[in-house]
Amino acid sequence: MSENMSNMKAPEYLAQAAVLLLFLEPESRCSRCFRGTVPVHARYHRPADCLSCLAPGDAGMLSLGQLSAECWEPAEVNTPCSSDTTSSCQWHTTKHTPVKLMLRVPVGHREHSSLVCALTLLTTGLCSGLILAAACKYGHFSQ
Amino acid sequence: MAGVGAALLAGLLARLALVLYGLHQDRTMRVRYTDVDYRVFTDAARLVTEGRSPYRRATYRYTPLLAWLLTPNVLLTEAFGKLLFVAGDLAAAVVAYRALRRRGTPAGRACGCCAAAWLLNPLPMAVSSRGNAEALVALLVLATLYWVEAGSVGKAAVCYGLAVHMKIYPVSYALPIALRLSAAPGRGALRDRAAKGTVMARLWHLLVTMLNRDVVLFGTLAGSVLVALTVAFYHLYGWEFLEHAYLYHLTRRDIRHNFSPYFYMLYLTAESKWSFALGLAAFLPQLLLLLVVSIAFYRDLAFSCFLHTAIFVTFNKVCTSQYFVWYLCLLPLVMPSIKMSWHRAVLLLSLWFMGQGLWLTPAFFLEFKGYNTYLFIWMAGLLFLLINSLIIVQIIAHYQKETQAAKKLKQQ
Repeated sequence: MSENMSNMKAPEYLAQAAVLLLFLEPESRCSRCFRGTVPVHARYHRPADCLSCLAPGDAGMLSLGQLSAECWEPAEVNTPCSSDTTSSCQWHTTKHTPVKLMLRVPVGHREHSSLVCALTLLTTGLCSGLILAAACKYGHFSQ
Repeated sequence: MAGVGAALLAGLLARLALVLYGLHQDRTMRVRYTDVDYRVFTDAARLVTEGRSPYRRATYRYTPLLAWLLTPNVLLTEAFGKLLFVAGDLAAAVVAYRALRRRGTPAGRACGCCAAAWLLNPLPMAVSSRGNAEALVALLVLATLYWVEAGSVGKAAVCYGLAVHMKIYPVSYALPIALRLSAAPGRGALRDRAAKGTVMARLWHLLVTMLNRDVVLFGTLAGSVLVALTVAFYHLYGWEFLEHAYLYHLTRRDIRHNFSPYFYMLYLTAESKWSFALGLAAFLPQLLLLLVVSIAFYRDLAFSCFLHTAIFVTFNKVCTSQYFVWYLCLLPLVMPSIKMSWHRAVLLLSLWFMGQGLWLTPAFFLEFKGYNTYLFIWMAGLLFLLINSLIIVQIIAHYQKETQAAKKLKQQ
């Protein structure tokens, strides 16, 4: 997944879904195991959603790449082997135990809205009044 | 000249050291020194070298000129852009120094102001060495003010058009520049006539007398530069150029935490029916203050623009550290006119840093530890607004242009 695919700064509710191609490495301690790492970037979520859960998809896909072709059914998907889009690989579905991840993301509290709006506008009004008064007192409005 | 050379050398060495340190930190630590925006610039430059639009890079919201300028990031070394920004810093210091000398400031004082406020100031050092392009806009703004004061309206207009193309905020300087050009020596007769009367009458008179040859020339030339660049890049990159380079900044609503006192209010009300009204309410104080300050202080263009920028940044709906560079670059020009004791100046500076520290602490816990510190960040943002406003008020109260002080002495 390259940075070109997704606007990392957009809040969660405006973000578009993106497909992540994760290329797993063989796990050295286990002959039939593969390992991958997924970076998680927690976007801004809507206020007052106290818990947000991120769950990866239940299905994964595995490329034929380095494995014997005899044991596999015909390929289901042709898609890039890697971020280098010049070569294409054949991908098959495979079964594995899905893992649900829970991620706690801090969000704003909606019940604070009135207080925050009132105090913010009051403070900005006060500050702009102070600057205005100083400009009128010390400024040169006539020759 | 030896003093200026030494200050420039010290500024250069400090910035180069930070660039080298940045390379080390990027390679060895989890938190990168280099700003994310630099990566965006470099990716956009790579696209340009491949003959593609820089706007293929998500979040590239700048002029294509910047991507073109940074193509050596791809062709030579990725650090090229940082070195360019460092050079921009130093060039800005040179222009500020020459502007001060032109205003009659003694060489030693001018050098001291440039060194203290810009060359040896850690903030512009960090901004450039991290890969932000603010130094280039600062250089163009300073060059604009220099040429206006020197009477070269054409050169000033070209620099101004380019500055506005690169960053929209210099647009706010249009009014004080126009007032300044209309108040240049030899045009006093137009000003003096009908200067009395109601506030509205005086405002109307001011607007009418603004339209003199220099103002029209400046406006026409600056507008032509801006339009030419816009048309050329629109021809090359189409609608996405207009959308990302200009329109995005005009309609931008950033709800992520930043120094702006409005951030939490905008985040909580982002999808509310009041969102538009609140956005407008946030804009009005900024607009009113900019208008009043332009009329009150246009006779000293550097001071007027400094106040403009400080107010713009302080009351903006988005405010990050690199925005401070926008007014810090003008600080050397106004320092000689601010008659303030060292104690007061140090106190205000300490308050400014303290305000940032009080904001950065809860922000760190939110970003890196995931704690819910929104209320603390918001309160720190309000406190920072109060501190900035106090500093602006103090600067206005202690502003004393040399000629004004001399006139008062004569009258006594």
